[in-house]
Amino acid sequence: MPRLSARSWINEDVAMKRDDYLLAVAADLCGPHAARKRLLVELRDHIDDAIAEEVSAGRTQGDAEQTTLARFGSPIEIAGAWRANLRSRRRETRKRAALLTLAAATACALAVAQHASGLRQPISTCAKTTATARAVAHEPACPSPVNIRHP
Amino acid sequence: MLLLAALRERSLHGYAIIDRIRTTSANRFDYPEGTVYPALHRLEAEGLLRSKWSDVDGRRRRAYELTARGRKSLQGRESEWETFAATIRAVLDQ
Repeated sequence: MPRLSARSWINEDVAMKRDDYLLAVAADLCGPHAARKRLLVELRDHIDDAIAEEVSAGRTQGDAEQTTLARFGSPIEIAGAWRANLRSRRRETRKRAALLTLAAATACALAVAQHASGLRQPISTCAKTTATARAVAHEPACPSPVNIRHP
Repeated sequence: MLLLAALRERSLHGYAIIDRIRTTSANRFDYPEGTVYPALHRLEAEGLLRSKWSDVDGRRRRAYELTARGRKSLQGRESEWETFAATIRAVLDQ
């Protein structure tokens, strides 16, 4: 069976430090601030654990950092996987918004029909419901990068 | 499926999940470690995992565990995989 291995993406001539690495990932992330911050904290903790393990196995701090980051995948790979998640979640959100809009439109049509037939007073929930649908459909733009130095 | 399977017995943080997959696959599955986190976040958003901060050897780590839905999903995926593997085996054995 072939070994499905992490590619070594680091140029051996360029030493990349943990914080540079995290900044490179952070620069390419999109989506809610809290989620990005949590991702970066988890990445940082994982890197720290792995470096500590390499050091305890006898590597120097510099070697341990390079080995760990090489195993970690490139910042582009991580950000790419993150963005794919985001796109998938946005598709789901759009589907939900479309369903909500349809439900709101149906409810409004029914209310108008009932009002026209004198069965009930006009209601304000139409506006509220369509506003909810609009809110669900709203997709925030990519915000500014997260400060990972003090997560 | 591998991420869900790694969490079948108990909750683990990301580093331990990767380590478990690597160990149990005899180093055959050795993915870029950083990419496991977007996958974990996706599974959590889908309701298959839940996570919380916990203390591991005095350090604060995010631990993941299967939800009931995640466990059910794992069983379904395992069953599909076993059917698939058995079918391939049957064809190869002819």
